[in-house]
Amino acid sequence: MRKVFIESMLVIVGLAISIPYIIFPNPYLMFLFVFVAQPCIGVAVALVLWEVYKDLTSKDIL
Amino acid sequence: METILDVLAIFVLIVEVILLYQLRANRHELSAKVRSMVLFGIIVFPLLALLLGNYHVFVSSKESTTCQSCHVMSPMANDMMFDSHSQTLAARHYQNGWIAEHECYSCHADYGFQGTMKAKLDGYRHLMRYVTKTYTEPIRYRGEFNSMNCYGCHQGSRTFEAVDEHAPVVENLMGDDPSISCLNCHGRAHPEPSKRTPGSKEYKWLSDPKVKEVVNAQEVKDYINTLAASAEQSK
Repeated sequence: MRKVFIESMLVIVGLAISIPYIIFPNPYLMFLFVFVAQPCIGVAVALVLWEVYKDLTSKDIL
Repeated sequence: METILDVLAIFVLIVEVILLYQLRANRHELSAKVRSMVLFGIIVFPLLALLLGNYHVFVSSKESTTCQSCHVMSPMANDMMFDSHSQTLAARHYQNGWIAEHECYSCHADYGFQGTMKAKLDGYRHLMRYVTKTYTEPIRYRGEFNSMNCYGCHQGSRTFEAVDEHAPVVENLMGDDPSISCLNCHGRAHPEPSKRTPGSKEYKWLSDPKVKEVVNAQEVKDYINTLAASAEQSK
């Protein structure tokens, strides 16, 4: 598994929007949450899962 | 519920900061500890934050105050909540306490983030247009209001069934091609577009509730309920 720098950055961006939105919901944060935070976290999760899949297939576990 | 969400969000934030900091310090070795930190720091807790955020998008947005938080909805919300002389259907329902909660959503159940996929896409489009300010006031309802939303609450009520004229209307509404709207007889649901046009006489206070010297919508509702209760007692 490679270093998870990109995934961490994406998660930080996603959470930097999600947490304020949960505590102080308003239309602008809702927009950022829907169109920025969710894709960021989604991509981060997908990248990690892809790395896990590659790791497992390279070791003939999958 | 909101407090629990806030506490959970802060908990997620604190745990996430610790996890990411630890992950940064230990990222050079792929130990079991690092793997579990990746699992929780990049997958589990961010997904929990998304879950909490989506609670607001899909559940908290049923609250009328959420609709009110968009400037463009102010004329509708302020007319409904604060104008004691308003005869619009929304104001009469709200101020008489005919709808216990989720006043906007009760009538617009098929609209915005809560309804069908098309309605959800409409909700996203509205959000996009509001934030990018690519809309013009007065806003207008695209399409036709579904009068079956009214029937959902009024169906079976004695006062509704007692009016003979409602029978053919219900029959029409349940048909394949309904041609009657409840609004035909019962008047407008919200202020007419001329009042919601910037620059008009009514627009100023319709878009600014402070003009009415009312701080909180719940206070107005409580006050109206108190009046209704005292009127009942005096009978």
